[in-house]
Amino acid sequence: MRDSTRCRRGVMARCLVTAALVALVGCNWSDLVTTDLPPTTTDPEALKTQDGALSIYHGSIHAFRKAFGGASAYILASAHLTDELQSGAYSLGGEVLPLETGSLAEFDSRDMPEDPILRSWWVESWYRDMNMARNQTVDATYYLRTYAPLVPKDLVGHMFAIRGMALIHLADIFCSGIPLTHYKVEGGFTYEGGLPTDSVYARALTWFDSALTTVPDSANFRYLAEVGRARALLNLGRFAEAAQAVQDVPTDFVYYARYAEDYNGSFSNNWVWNLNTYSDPEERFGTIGDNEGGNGLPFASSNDPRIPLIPAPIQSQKYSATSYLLPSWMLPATAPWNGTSGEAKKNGVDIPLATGIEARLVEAEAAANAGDASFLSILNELRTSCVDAASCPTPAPAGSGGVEGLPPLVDPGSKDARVKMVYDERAYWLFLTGHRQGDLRRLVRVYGWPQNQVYPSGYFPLGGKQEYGIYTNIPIPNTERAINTKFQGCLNRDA
Amino acid sequence: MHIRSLVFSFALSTAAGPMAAHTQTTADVVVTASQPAASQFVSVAPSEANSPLLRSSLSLDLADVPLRDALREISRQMGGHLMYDEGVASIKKRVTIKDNRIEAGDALRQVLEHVPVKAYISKDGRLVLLKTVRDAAPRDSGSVRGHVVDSTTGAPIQRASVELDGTKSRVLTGDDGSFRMANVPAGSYTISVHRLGYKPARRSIVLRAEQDTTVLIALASVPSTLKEVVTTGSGEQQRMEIGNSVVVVNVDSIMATTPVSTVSDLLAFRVPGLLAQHGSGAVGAPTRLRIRGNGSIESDNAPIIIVDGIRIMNDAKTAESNSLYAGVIGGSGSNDLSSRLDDIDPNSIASIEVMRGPAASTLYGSEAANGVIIIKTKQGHDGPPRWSAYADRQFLVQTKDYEYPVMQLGGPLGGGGYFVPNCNLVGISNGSCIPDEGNVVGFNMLRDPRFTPQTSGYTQSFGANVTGGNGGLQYFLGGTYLDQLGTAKLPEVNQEIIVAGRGGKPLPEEIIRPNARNNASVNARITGTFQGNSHFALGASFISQYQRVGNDGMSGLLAAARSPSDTTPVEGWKNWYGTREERVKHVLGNASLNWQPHWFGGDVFSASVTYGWDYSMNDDQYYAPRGSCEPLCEGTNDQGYLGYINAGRRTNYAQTLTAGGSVSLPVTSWMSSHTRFGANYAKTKMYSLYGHNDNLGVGRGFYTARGNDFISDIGDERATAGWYLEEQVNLRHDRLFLTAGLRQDAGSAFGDAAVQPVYLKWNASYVVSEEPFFAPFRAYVPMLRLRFATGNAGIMPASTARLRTYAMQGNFVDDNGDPVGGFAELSGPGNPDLRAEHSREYEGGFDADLFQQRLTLNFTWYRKYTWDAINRGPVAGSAGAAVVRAFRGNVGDVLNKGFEAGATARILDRDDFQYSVSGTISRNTNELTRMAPGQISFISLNASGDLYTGNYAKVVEGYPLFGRWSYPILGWADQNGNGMIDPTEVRVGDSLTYVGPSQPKYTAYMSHHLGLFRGRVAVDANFAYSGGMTQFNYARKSILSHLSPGQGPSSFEQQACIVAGFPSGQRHATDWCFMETVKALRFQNLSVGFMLPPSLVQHVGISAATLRFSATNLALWSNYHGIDPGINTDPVNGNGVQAGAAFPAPRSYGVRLQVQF
Repeated sequence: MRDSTRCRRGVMARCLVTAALVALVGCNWSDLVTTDLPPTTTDPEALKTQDGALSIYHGSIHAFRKAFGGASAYILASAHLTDELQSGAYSLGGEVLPLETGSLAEFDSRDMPEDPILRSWWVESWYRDMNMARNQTVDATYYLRTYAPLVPKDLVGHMFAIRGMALIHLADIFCSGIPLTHYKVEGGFTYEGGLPTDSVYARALTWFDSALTTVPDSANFRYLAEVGRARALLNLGRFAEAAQAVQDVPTDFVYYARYAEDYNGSFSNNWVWNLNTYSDPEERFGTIGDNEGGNGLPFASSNDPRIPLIPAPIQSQKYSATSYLLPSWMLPATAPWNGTSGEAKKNGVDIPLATGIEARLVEAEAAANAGDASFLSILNELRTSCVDAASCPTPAPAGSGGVEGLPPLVDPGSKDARVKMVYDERAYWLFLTGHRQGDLRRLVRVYGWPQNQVYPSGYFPLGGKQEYGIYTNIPIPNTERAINTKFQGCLNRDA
Repeated sequence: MHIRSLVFSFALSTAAGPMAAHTQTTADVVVTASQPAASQFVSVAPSEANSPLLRSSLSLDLADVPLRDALREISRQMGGHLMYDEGVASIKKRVTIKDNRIEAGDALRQVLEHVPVKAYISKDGRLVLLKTVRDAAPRDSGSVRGHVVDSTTGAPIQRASVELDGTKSRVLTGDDGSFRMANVPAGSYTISVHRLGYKPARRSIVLRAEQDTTVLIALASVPSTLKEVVTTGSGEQQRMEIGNSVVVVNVDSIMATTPVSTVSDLLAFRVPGLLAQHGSGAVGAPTRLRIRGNGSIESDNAPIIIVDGIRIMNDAKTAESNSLYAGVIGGSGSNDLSSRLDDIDPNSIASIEVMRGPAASTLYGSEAANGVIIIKTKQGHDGPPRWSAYADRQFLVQTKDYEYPVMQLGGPLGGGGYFVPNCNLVGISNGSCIPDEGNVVGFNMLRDPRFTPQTSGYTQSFGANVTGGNGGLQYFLGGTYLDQLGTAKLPEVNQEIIVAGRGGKPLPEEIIRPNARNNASVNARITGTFQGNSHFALGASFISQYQRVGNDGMSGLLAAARSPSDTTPVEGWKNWYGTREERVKHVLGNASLNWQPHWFGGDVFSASVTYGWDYSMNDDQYYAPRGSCEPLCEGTNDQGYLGYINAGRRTNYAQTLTAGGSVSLPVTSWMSSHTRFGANYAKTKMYSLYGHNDNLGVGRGFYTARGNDFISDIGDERATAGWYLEEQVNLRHDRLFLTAGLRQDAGSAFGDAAVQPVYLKWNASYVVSEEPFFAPFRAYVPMLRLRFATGNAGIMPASTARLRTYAMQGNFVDDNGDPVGGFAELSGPGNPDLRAEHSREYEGGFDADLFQQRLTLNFTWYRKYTWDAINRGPVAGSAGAAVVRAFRGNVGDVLNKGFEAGATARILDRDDFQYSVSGTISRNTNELTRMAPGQISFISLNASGDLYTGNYAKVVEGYPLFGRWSYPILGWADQNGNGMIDPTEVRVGDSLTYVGPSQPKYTAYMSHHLGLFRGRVAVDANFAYSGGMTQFNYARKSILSHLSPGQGPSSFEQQACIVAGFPSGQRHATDWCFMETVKALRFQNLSVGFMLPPSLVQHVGISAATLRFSATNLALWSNYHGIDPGINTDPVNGNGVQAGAAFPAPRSYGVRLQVQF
């Protein structure tokens, strides 16, 4: 009797408990545990505003600039792998030194096998920055569309174009098998395996296509996308389409990657031309190539006005074998080089990323490839006609158009020679702008020219094995393989 | 029937003093009506009793009240010596009695008239009333009725086993302690009564036909840990009900025998499986707590700490992020972590319970995987005010026995100028330095009175508390003041040179004695009952603390003292010009309410709610005012050290709200159900403002600093909220206890409601010795319990761990070249899939008493598996993170396994002589069993938690977390025959090689207790052992590397060890020789306590007084070639250990007087 009473009581008690539990479970506990962010963490909510979206947009551009010509400088890698720049590892005593892994000298030697060695943080750095630029455009696009409806839609198109350019650079210099990790909006990512080079160019093409659908009002961004699109098409061997892509790009168009001397130290400095921070500038830069490896162009000895040179302001303290010449545009605009100090700051000099001249050169290449003699008129018009005489600098760096003192070219006749002529012209017009590596590799990969007839080859006098290697590209940094289990290394090391 | 609320407690007579813990009290036993001569209780009729109790005068004015109320009032006026069972009180008789001067006996006779009651009275006057009932019975048989009560308190004993020997008659007592055996054939029997926690009783009875034989059996309690009430995640339970092991530290007994200054001191070695790692032997140095090894790679491995139901700040990660605090208080860098635990006055603590892992801590949820330490502070009691006071003084000294540090000194020892030769082995071997051996001496600085940085110090404390209460309210109020002066000093030779350089201006005391601490605390607690069924508690503590520590640590006092060079005078002394101080204000408050409503009969449902907070504010600074070193420092490169300040202001705030309830029901006669449920909310918050300037103006001028100033603010908040449900089923008449429970948590790191981890547990406790089949073994094994438990708990990642984070930067130039404001740079890709770390623990074991409780044993085996361990791991470049270690993922699995065992042997147990030995031993092994692909093994954690490829602590699959790794030395040879080993003559391996774990594999503790003269003299001696940990002996490396042959290493082996640390060409630097796998046995303390004769102290109004003499750290036996293997100065990411040149633990000699009045 007593137990049954208690059991009834128990049922009632358990009903109460159940009700209490239902209330507990039904609570929105997440509201209870909302906490303030640490003061050092940017509030994600603050980014969900127009200003926040613009900050991410700016950050994407900044990351691209940094990878392209900033603190890590893809341009230098491109220049050293090809014939634009050279550096070496002869010591003052004359003995041959080993090439440091990941050093500019190693790039020069083209002897960069895929091995377990952790590549230098320099390579790692611009590889990361380029991918950061590529990925952050995903966030930027989302935030611009979602939280900044009042800003021009062109900014979204701009992001697509920047993404495409980042892919072009990755495809130009890395081996086939590039992991394009899938970056998720607002958090997380999924690693991906390596994509063949063609596929990366093709993917770049789609981003340029997307850009063109969202930049109707901005000529600057549209031309950027069109030049980028043409660049992708060239690398896919679709020359006629490439020429068509840039037909409305004016020759005086220049899209600059902007750098600033006065802003926030290294964050937005041009480090390709920054010479102030090293007692030995060669460590940062190297010297102008001159018929490097036999196949290289005579950038130094040709006296081409597009690349006015000066002797080394500071002699290498470490190496003695290089002549050490610099393009004169590395000089400060307002303070002529005095040859005694390392104050040649060019942190703020902008670097052309895409130009109307490049557009014309694309047309010339397409014409040359098609056997159309018009390529020559295009090249000669660039050499002799300044698009905007009033603003034509003397001498003119890449992208300015028309340089006094350049004689007209003569048609060499054969297709290969015509193509070679176009590429030589590209080399001078686009000197030190991150194009040369893509050009030489395209000659091998698309045109089928032997790499040892395109890239510097043969005897390599500047250290290491004293022989140029066989590679036209570099392996993906080894950390990628160590961390990203979907990436199994280069698919091949062919061009 | 519920007798507990009707019985008065007689527990007031238990003496609570420092000696009590070592005095085994054995109550006189069992009494029945049939054996009055040998009993405490004799059967009487109330009217016959000639007891003073019954003659006490009462004043009663009761009109038509229930008998229950009348008895209550009589009991109250009698002063608590009347006991009666509910069978009496529940009789529905109403009584009237009005008399303002009536004797208790008369009053009882009146109200009990015609009430079937039997009375018993004890020798000391306690009166028990039991109801008698007559049943029909066969003519040739009778019945036995009775009650089983506690001989000390008189409380009924439930579930006691009552048997008539030679028959199959066996019953269990009910809730009121009563039992009945009917239809028992007449005759003589022996009745046996057994109950866990009591000494078994056997008595003869004569049973006559057609008669009721009524007996009262009082059982004497014996110590049994299974009866102990311990705290669980869902409330308080008897230990025997829960299947996991819980360690209870009886604080008073420790304080009685051992000098204790901090809570960490209470825990060190006394809890098997708990490791208290000291960062320095300096007073106030921080301690890191780890239980059952490390489970997390990056997350904090410290347990959570709860004081009176309230979380207190123990977030090591929070401490880590505030480098100033860590820098101020001992240690070598930003990772010398500590919590605010040691602010708490150990004198205010009643007990500490330790749940050692998820099997026990499941219901604490997402931050409890590393265990839970539950601290209960003292509270008051009913009765007149009882005062207690103590005074303690310890003299601290440092031993000179350590082999290192050796000092090498040039110049005239007796003159004013010295120099530290810069010739080291590498310099000598490569010819860059020619040793001037004729002018250089090497000696152990610790043994030179002029050069040693060690001296004597002291710890003194005094305090008092008062407890008392009346009826519904009890109070405790206590206060303590602790004053400590560490053993560090500025060596005399340094003092001389500095003072001379200052033109004779004397140095301030805080420079000469850079290590000191004081702590003042006040603790108050009020508990009470209202409306008969509600209990409340209010508690508050206020702590004010000051401490200063010189730059102790690897590059600290000893290292600085080794450089008294007058050629570069500031270099060696610059640390001595500043003071590193911390001032703390710490307040804890809590309130709790427990309510047991009368619903459903009053004993079914209970509910409680607890709320409290822990607030502390640190004011830390490392300050050297401009001019403090002039003119000595003028013109030196160390000008930057003049006018230097690091200052931090940190506030910690934690709050806890817990509400819960329980429903207890009998299901059948052999099964009962206990359902517990509740919710818990805990939030911790830290905010710190930290600034630095190293070129101050005159005066401090920090905020108008002109030099290299910077300021940073750091903050962190964490919160969890969850609910839990637990069901406990008691089977087989409270012999088998099965419990299952779950907790679900929301956490600040989880982000949304969809991610709320659920933690499950179940456990079983089986008191085998209570089973009938165990009866034949009970003489040898009075108690045997088997237990098994498993449970999950978690570790929540940091609040921002899942977020994609951007670092905001300034000054962006747009495509037109115009500055347009800032930009956001991706700093962390975020991981929205990040989960809490989970640990699942299995543990099983037994508790046993053997040989009449002379030997008690316990053993626990455990296996703790942690999965989804979080690491801030590397991100592949294709993900676009700017930094390599930017991605927190659930990447690892960690296995900890081992055992903990304890034994206590009462070897001699006489009234005037007791000797007991108790010991514990624990073993823990740790292994990172899985590391996700992509967590490249060469990335381990350095002191900053960043990429590290060195040879110290590493995280490698298949090896212990933070194990020691180093490049092996394969050989050496003096190839050039110059009599020395230079770096090129040592062959070093190319691969890092595992050396050993960084944490001890074994720890053990042994305690001896000798009681003499009925406990009036007590001698205690404790020994502690740890072994199996591999430590990097930085001190030895540092010191040997600066010694040239003749003053230091002489063998090629020693030289090879040293020069191998200086790489040549592509060779790896290695500290292979300085990785030492250590064993250490320490004679931890010896104390002799005297209970002063009452006849002596009572003359001055003192009821009891104890005088204790003690000594600590009396000896150390170790294979370690360094200073103190118990000091670990350089944790890696808060989880590893390293032994440096920090001050060793001091030795102390002391005296303590404790009085009660």
